[in-house]
Amino acid sequence: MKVVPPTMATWMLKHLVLGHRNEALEGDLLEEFQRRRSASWYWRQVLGAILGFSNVLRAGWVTVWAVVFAGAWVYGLCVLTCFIHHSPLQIPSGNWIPRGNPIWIPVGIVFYLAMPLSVYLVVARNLSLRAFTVGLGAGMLVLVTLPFFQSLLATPLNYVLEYGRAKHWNVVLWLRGYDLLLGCLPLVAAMWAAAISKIRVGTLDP
Amino acid sequence: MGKREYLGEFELTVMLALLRLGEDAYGVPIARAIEASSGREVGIASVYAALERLERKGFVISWRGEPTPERGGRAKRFFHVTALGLRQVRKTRKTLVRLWRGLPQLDGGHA
Repeated sequence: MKVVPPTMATWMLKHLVLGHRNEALEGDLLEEFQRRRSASWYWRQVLGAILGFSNVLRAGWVTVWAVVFAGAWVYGLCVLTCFIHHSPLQIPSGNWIPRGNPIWIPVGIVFYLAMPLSVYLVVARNLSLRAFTVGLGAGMLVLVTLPFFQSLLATPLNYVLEYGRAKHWNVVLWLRGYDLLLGCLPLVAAMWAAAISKIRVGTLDP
Repeated sequence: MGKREYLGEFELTVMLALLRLGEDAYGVPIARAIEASSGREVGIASVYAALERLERKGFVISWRGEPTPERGGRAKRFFHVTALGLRQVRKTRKTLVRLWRGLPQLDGGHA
């Protein structure tokens, strides 16, 4: 029977080891695991690869760029939101993590983690930076035109709310997360464009 | 000797394992050879990190093998010591032997 290594560790090995993806390392760990090693050995090897000192040093500048981009992203979204809603500037997280309901805290955290992670994927994994920028621009354009789409949606939403269907959990969840999900749109578009561009030229794995 | 041309302790260990293994040297047997001689667990990722450094210095060359099903379709990466690398190993050995000679602490077992 074929023994499968811990799925979470394999995912972490693929996505969290900085620098170029090392296909040979992934294959070596799988081969050695299937021969005689334990799950704890596999985990130790994966964590060693992620926390490797040389990897951290090599990726130092990637971390700096990720932090800078994350800050610019949050500030940019905040300014954009204020521009859209014609409201005075508030603290950055105020617009994108709804307050008062703890259920949105993990969603907010995921949203904020997605920003530096996306930059990491583009820079460390050598996805197309140009395609990423184009995708980001396109997504931002959609975000700017949000008021128009919101006005289109307003009537059916008000209908749902008025007739009590909003009491249904899914509808409430969707309404509360509406702004948050739309805020992710440019990021998703950028990542999608960058990934597609890289797959087309066939150099996703070095 | 240039700034980047020396061999660190782990790098020397990896080079010696490579020389022992000959043509079949890739991550798994290299790590096993080091584990067998040192008696402690070796991170395969740290072996690759050392091999990358050695390749940048021109002491080893690598090439990609064929993908195999038992490795989930992933290819092996084979390594071989270059002539420059071999010279560097000899040089390091000479240096260490010279330093080793005439050390009473090591001969007599006193600290």
